[in-house]
Formats: sequence, C-alpha cells, structure tokens
Amino acid sequence: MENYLIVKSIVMFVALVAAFGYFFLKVKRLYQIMMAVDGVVEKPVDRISDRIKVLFTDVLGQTNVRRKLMPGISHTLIFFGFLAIQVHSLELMIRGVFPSFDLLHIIPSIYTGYLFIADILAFFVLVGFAYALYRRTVIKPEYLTMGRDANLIILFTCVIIISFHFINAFQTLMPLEAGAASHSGIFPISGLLVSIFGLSGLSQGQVIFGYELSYFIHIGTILGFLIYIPGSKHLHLLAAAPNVFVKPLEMEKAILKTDIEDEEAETFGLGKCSEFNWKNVLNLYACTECGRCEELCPASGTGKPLSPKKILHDFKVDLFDQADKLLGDEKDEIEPLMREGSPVTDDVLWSCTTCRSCEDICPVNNQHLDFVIEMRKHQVLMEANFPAEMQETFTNIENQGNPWGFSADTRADWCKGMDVPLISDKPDADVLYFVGCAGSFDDRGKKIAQATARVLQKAGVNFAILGPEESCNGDMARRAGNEYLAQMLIQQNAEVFNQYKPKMILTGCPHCYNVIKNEYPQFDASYPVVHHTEYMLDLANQGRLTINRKEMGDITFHDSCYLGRWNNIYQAPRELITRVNSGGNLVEMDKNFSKGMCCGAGGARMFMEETIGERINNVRAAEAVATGAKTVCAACPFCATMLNDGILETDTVIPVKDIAEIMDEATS
Amino acid sequence: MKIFVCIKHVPDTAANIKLVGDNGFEDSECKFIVNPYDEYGLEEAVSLVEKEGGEVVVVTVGKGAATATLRSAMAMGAARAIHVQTQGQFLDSTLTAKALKAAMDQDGAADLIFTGKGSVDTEGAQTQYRLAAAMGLPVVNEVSRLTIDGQKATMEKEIGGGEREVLEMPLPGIIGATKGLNEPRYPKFPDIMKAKKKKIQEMAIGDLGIDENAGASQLVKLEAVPERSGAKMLEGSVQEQVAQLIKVLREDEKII
Repeated sequence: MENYLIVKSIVMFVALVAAFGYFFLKVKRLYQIMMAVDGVVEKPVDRISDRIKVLFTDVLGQTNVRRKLMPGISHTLIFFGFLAIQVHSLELMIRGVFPSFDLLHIIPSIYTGYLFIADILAFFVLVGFAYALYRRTVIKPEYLTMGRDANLIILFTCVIIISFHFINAFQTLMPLEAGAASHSGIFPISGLLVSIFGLSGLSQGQVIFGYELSYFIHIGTILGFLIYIPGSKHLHLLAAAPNVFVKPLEMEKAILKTDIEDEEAETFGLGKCSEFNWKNVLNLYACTECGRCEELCPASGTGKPLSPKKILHDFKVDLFDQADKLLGDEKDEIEPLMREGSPVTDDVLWSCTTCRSCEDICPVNNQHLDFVIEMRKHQVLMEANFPAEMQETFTNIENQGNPWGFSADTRADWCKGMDVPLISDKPDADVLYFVGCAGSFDDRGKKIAQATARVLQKAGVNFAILGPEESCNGDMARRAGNEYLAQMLIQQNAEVFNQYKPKMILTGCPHCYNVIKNEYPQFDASYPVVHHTEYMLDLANQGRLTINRKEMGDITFHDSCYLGRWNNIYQAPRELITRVNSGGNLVEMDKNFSKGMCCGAGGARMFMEETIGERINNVRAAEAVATGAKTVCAACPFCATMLNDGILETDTVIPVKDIAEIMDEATS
Repeated sequence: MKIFVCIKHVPDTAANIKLVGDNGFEDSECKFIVNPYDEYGLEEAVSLVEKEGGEVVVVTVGKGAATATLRSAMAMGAARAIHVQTQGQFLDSTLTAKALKAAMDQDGAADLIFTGKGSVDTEGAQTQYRLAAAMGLPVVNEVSRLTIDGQKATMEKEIGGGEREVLEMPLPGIIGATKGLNEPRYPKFPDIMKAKKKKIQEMAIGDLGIDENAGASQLVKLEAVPERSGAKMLEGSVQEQVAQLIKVLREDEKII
C-alpha cells in the first residue's frame, strides 16, 4: 500500500502538471488571440458594481438560460451540480499527490455539510442530462447543432458525475485510519449505491480497488475534459461568464461610429478576422451553439442562408485557422472573411433584417449585429459590394434625402391644407414632429403621418415640423453599411436640431426614433425623443384626448423590432388599443413581445429584393391572420406596408392600421 | 490610353425646378449630379483604363458649382479634371463644343473621347456632333455596346423595333454613351476621399477666347411643364362603371 501511494502520488503529480500545463497554454493562446485583434471597442467596461450584479443574476441566477424553460432548468441543474463537485474534485487531486491531505479532517463540519449538498446536486446533473438526451434524441430541434462535440461533452460529464458517486460510495466502506472521520451517512445519493449494488458485501481489497478505479476514472475524465474544453464549443464554460460580465448594460444600442475622417486608416469596417475587436472574439469563444438565435431569426426561419449561430461559428473557425498569422505579426497575410469559398456569402450578409432577436435571446449576451453591420460597412465602403438594387436607393438618399428619390423640397406636401406649421415659423413649439421619409413621401406612410398630426391637433399640442429642412435619419444607410452616407445625413439633421434646439422630438417611425435617440448623441445632438405610441398614451393619460370607445373586434399588435427589442416599448401601444376598443380583445400572435417576428423591412431590407425562401412578411402576415383578429395594428410605417403586402397574399382581407390611425378614429 | 470624358453638371431629374425670371432657375437649393448618360461613358472609360492602362480625364464646361460634380466623377475613377468655367447653366452647344475642344487641345491629344448621348437638362443632344465637327473626328451616338480592338472601335446602337446597328469607327473618335453600355459603379469610400485631393485645372471660358454670350442660339424662355390633370375615378359596380366609361368616351372625349 505504501508503494502504491508513492506511485499514485507521482502519477497524479505528472498528470496534473501535464493537464493543467496544457490547459494553461491553450487558454493563454486564446487570450493572446483576443488581445492581438485590432478592432475598436467603443465603450469601455465601466460600472463594475453593476456588472458584478449581472454575474449574480445572469450567471449564478441562470436567468438568461431559463428564458427557454425546460432546457433552462436542465442547464441550471447541470451548472450547479457541476460547480458543486469542483471543490471535492480539487481535494481529490491534492490528496492524490499528498495522501495525508484530508479536508474532512481540517474542517470536519463544513466539509461534511458541503459533501452532503454536493452529493445531491451532483445527482441532479444526471437529471439535467437525462432531459438533454431526451431533447437531442426525441425532440431534436432543428436549430440545435447535433455534433460529436456536444455528445462527447455529455458523455464526459456523465462519467465525471457517476464516478463521483462511486468514489463516495466506496469511501463510506473504506477502512478508517486512526483518528480519521467517518464518511458514512453524509452521502444521501451515493449511499444508495452501496445498497443498490450490494457493495457492503465486498472485501476490503475489493473496496479499495473499486475506490481507486473510480478515482482514476473520475480524475482522468476531468483532466481529459480540461484538455478538451479550450478547443471545443464548450469553451463557453470559460468564456460565458466574462462575456456576460462585459456585455452592454443597456438594451439600447448604437452602431459603432466609424472614424471615417481618419486619413491614416487603411480600411473601414470588418474585413478580416484581425479586425475583430476583443469583445467580438470573446463572443465567439462564449457561443455554445445552442441555436436559440437561429430559432428566432426571421431569415433562418424563412429559408435564407443566414443563421446568426453559424456566422459566429464560421468566424471562430476562421479566426483559429488564421491565428498563427495573427499572432505571428503577419496580419497583412490574413485573408478576408468574405472570400472565395467562405461560408459567409453575400446572401448570408444581406439577409439580416437587424431585428436583434438573436442578441435579445442569446443566453450569453452575444452581439451578433456588431459582426453583421461592421461587415456590411466594409463591403460597402471598401468593396462597393452590396445588392445592386441598393445603388439607386443610396443615390436617392444622397441626392434627395429619401430612399425613393422624391424631390426633397416636397417633404412637407403630406400635410398640405392641414395647418401644420414649420418650425422655422414656430421655433418655440413644444414638440418637433420628425415625420421621416415614409411619413413624408410614401402613400401609406403619409396617411399615418396625417393621422398623427390630427391626433396632435385634437390634443392641442403645440407642435411643428421641419419640412424641407428634414432629411433621411440615416438609419437605413447605416444599417446597410453605408457609414459615409449615414454620417452625412445624421450630421445634417443634427445641425438642424442644434439650430432649433427642440424641447422634444416626436417620431412616428421607430427607425427615426431609435437612431435619433441612441445614435445622434454620437454626433453631438442629444434631445429627448419620444415615439408616438408612448406620446399618445401620455396625452390620453393627461386627459388631453377625448376617447370615444368603439367596437373594433379583436385586434392583434405587431411589435416593431426597433420599438420593442431595440427600445423596450411593448406596453404603450397595447394599452392604447385596449383603451379605445370597447368590443373585442387584444389577441397576440404566436411570436410576440421580445420574441416578436420582424416584418422583413429592417436593416434596409425594405429596399432589397427578397428572392430566397419564403418572404418574411408573408410568414408574419399569416401569423397575424391566424389570430382571427379583425384588425392588425402596427406602430411603424414600414411594418404596416410589409404586413399589408403579406396579407394580400392570403385569402383573408383584414386591414393593417397604425396605432396613430386607430387613435385618430377613436378620438375627438 | 488617354481618354477624355466630357461630363455635364446638371440638376437631378428628381429635383423640383423653381423658375426665376424668363430664362433662369433657382439653382442654389437644387441638387446637381453628373449627367447620367455621361456616367455610362465615364464607367466605360474607367474600365478600359483599368484593363489597358492609361488615364481618364474628365472635362466639363459649366458653373463654378460644377466642382462638386467633377469630384463625383473623379471618385468613380477619373484621374484628374479640367473645368472650363461659365457664368450660366445653359450654354449654346456650339460654344460648349468649342470650349471642350480648346480645353482638350491644351491638354494634349487623346485616343478616345466619351460624351453622353445627351444631357438630361436641355436634352439638346448636339454637343458630341459639334465637337466631332470641330475636332475633325468621327462620332457615333447612343452607343450601348462597345469593344475596342487596337485602333478600331466596334459599337452597337439600338435603332428601334428591336434592331441593332453595328458600326465600326477608327480611333481616335467620339462615342456618345447611353444606358445599357454598363452599370456605372458606386464609388468606394477611399476613392471618394482620394477624389477630394485630385487635381482640377480651372480656366474661365473667356480665357479660351470664347464669348459666353455669343452662341448661335439663345435661350429665350423657360416654362414649367403643365401638371397632368388628375385621373377620373369611376365608382360603383362593374356594370355601372362600364356604363359611365362609355358615356365619358362618347360624350366628354368624343372618341366613340
């Protein structure tokens, strides 16, 4: 026995040094890659105390993971069980090298309590995995990557847990040395194994053999796991917590302001993996390919080649493929992300509607759009590579300040005869109504703008518009990657705002709302911005609108991405609908609130052809029709157009109305 | 290969034109662009030079504000620009041709000259012919396909009824480009920035010995195109609408 323990000490020492050494080198390389990339991170990691709180809620609390209930519970069980046994495993490793080390001896009561809890939590890991296996073999969701990687990890972990229980079971039967504390009675689950397998009948030699065998299987698997993790998708075990720690704390986000005036810059946007920023790289490490993004992605769901999960996976593969060049200071040799044979093609890149459902649902808070938009920037600015139909749109915006190319000086024609003042004539107006291109020029949008103006007039709001001084807000150009054009437009509008210094800016279009609220401050124009949904609710709450309730039948509300996921406005329109409708319910579509499906128009998709797969708006319109509602309510002129076109493809005739139109009809 | 591309600084066709006085218009609020037909010529010239090497020089005869238009053209790939400056927008095409010739002669002989098939502001479609006459060069207008083979250009032009005419022309010569010849590129951002630093050689039209007001024709008056009267919508059932339609065609329009 003495000799055996000496051999065991040596074997364990060598194995631990080798495994941890290898692990350390792998992690060091991952860290070096993360630090070797050149991309800019706009916001520093600040508000550390808030971030520590996030670690407690999101990581320890597992709240993000449980947004998908059953897999979330399963993950929580696995997470805590696996975490719980780590102290025990560490103790076993130390004891392997130094046989006299025994925590039960040093802190008997604490360690006893710990072992008791760990023994139960460990068993729950198996319960969690039972569900995971059921999901992978019976439910088989399409969005879940069924790779060898995942199965191997499940196998590894199950072996670790089962051997853990056997170690404990044999431990209770081990001969006690003088003065050593007994383990019997502190393993509620492992103790059962003794009676189930009749282990108490074993000889002392057999018990020791069983213990040692379990020990080596246990530690061996853990060390194998340690070596395996850094190269697998289960890198998320290491990267998820730091990734969540540095996540954007606000849900509102602004697209990175590219310094296009930097004359030293050789390239703009994201062209190759060395141009990632360190957060992008951490995102890639943290992705565990759970596929929740793909499940909700309107492009993936309608047969487009885009999957947010796959983009991140492909970029990770590319990053690792080219890591030697990155670390070896051969950045010039690095090949572009989009190249001949690259899995990320034009169709992948341009299918994104920037709806943000991927980012919203991601359990590790990855920012998929940061990749997509920076790549689009690179393709447009550096390669002039974008869907052909966008050229005319860009030119129209550039020349006339709107995507359709209507003459800029007719911008206020939508309100002819409505007595809507220009702010140049009424600089003290309380509200500057930023009408937007759709409201100003598009036939459908104009009706919404007119309804909005009428509601404002009924409520006696002192408002004015910019008229021809208004230009396209820049959202579309920016999301289409044309940062140069976008900055031109934003600067132009920002200068006009700064000239009039409006007390409040009201928008009817969520795209105007989002970009003015969240991105104009990058251009020194910070003003209070409100969307007409919230503003009309305010007016109603203040009693400034006389609501004549009407029987409208059931109404379903379509969440605009840029109101909901981008700005967390979900309740105001629903509240208004409920208030004005005296006969009928607010009925929800299958996908609603933060999981609401995009209409297909965002991210400049409104102005691109949609030739692959089903049309997104048709799919969404069918969902709306399926509610049986008498009216579909939207809060965005682009959504209204898309849904209406989609409904025309069905056999049902139901009107799509903007919330402003519903309010206009229901107020006096 | 040295190629001149003659471009015109014109108001965007989408812009509403506000007339001022008898024959002027408010051009300070109006967006100006490279004449779209000239862009086909420019794209063709730039692609040729990208393939064969050489230099593309854009030449314009126009107001001071045409600088911005020249920058746009240079962002698309022209190496430099020559700007013959005038006081007015509407220069007689004889004078434009004379000014273009003088500017190009100063710069040195070219292998090829492109123009558009006409400009979208005055729609005269005269300049390329007058320029050819002044320079003693052959000219083919409305070219929608082009191949250059040594000292010979082979071109196609639509002649109506789906027919195409194929023409050959010795170089140097003048080609009036039109839609179909290519898809003019959207400039890359670094090219837009580089274009800001490219050279524009400026000269007043008077310095070329040309009197801007001594054209062969004069613009007397500009008038807005009368707005088309609104369509008449017929209401009611199909039968009623048909009955109304027949009534309108017979009584109001007197067609049937």
